[in-house]
Amino acid sequence: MNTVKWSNGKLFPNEDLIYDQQAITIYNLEEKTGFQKGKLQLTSHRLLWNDHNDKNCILEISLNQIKNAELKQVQNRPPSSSTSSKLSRQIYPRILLNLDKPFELSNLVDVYGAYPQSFVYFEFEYGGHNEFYQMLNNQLTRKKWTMSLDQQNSLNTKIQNIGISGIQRQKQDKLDQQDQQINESFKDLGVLMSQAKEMVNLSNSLISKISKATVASTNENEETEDIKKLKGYFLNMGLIDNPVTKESSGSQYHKALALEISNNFTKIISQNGGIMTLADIYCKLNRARGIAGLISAEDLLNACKQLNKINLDLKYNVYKDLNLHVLEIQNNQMNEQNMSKISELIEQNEYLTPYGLSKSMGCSLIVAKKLLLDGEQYGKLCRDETNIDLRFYKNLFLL
Amino acid sequence: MRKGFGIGAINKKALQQSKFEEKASEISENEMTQLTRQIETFKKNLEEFAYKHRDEIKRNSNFRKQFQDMCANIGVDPLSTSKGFWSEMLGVSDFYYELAVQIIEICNSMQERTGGLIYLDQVLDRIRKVRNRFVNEVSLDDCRRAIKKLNIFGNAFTLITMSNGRFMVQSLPDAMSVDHTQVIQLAETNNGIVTREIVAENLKWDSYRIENILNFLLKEGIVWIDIHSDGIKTISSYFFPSFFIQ
Repeated sequence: MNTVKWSNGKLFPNEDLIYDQQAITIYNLEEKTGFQKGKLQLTSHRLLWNDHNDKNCILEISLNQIKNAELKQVQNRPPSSSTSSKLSRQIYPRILLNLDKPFELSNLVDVYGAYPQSFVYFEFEYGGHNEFYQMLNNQLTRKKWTMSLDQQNSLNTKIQNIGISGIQRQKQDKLDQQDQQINESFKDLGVLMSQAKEMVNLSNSLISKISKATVASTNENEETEDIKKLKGYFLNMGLIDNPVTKESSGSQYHKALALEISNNFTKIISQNGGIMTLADIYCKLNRARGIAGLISAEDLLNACKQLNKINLDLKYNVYKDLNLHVLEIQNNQMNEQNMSKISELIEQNEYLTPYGLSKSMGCSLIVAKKLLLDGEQYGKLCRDETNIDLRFYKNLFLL
Repeated sequence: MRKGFGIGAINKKALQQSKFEEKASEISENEMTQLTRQIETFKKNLEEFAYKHRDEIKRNSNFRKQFQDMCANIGVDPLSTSKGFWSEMLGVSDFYYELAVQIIEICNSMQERTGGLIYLDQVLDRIRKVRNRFVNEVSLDDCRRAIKKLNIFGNAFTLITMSNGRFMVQSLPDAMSVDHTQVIQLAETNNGIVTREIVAENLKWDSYRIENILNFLLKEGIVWIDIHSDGIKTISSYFFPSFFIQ
């Protein structure tokens, strides 16, 4: 019998779901297998791995076939100087399972797993490995699978109440338990926050000292080890109005993000009129990233500011009159391309509204309006502003 | 003690000064190590907390509100970056980022019909329809926080407080002035319809101001006009489609 096998994902009658974690990739030795970024579920009897695209693709490992588990905290490699994105190079923590018998993934998928292994790696791309490891060990020592179904049933019937009053009591018990849980969590939260407050107070006093020190020091580029470390902490904590990180030249993370944006969006933006609002980019970027590792609005803004420092086609810009933050492609070719498209559309329809342009260019309404207003500024278009809408005609005066 | 004169005194002063500086840097060094230690223990505690309550914070909106309020109290913003330990351990920020994405998408899809103006609770209804009800419960407070985070992209998403405590989201970034907001608020109390007379009566504006504001709203597609007659004179009623969509 193979240790790792297909499963239908249904739980046994006495099986409990203990914990789950997203974005888990299975490794066979150092080789990534085809099973990537799925959900790993821990039950009292088994480990279940669910593919996040294919609902029918579920693997299972019975816990009784696991000899032991090890947690492998892999340190990040120093960022390499190659041009590829830093994100793809990062190595995440893993949990190693030693199995009773060797298994062959080749039974399951023909490409991977050249020879049988008796261990398997799970890579935790999105963290949560510590909890998972702890939970797994708990279950391994509990050995619930050795208890037969009857034993458990007899346990249950002892406590179980019979009749309507029994049901009511059970419900009440459950509610009480939930209340207690919530109270407990609020209490825990209070403790946690009072600790955080201390931490923040100390950091604030350090901030003021450091900003004094930087004013005093003549060499601004020089950053001591301490300050670098401190900046890391502040970023981590998410301190509001933090002067140190605000002035900083941008973290490595934001630079990597800027590159990612430029790689992925330059083509899309150039196809959609050369301008895209940050809100739209935020949407598209996070949709593309899926469940794992969404990015915050502020990170995106910082990354966009970094874009202007790297010399790329894509530029970050703010239209003051519209109070709109955008990424745009700034070159004459783009402008000409847009103008020729607009005049072509006007030829066809006699006039053009921002709404019509946004439909045919596939850009957002506000971007379409901006393009038309630009056209007016160059003297190519004339506007007719009525109560019904804003129309743009070809400027015949200058022809 | 004799007052310091001459080179000796200057040297002595300089020496004193450097001694002071030394001491100061020593003190701040101590504080630095203290902070490092504090952060380490805090991280450990947070990890423990996350292990116990991670699911709760995703599921229970009250709990989330409490958490956010406490963070604001101590001057920390757990949503500012996805690289901080708040989001890495608690996963609370991903919840808001995803919510923001959904809000943007819903507002964009409604823009054509409403001119970008929509009730926040209607947005929430739509979000709940999209989401799996059993996974996470989303509250209005969550939505408001998510939207506030989007405001750093300019005035892209503005919240308007209505008289009855409901909120509306304005998703087109054209500047909505106080005047526009007032007309919207007035319309809400009047079944979503205003006429020039109603505005004049309630807000005491002159006709030019009314004309200006109503025309702007009309052009932006936020109001629709219906010109009808009561037999004597023609009346223009301005309808806000935002109040009629379900």
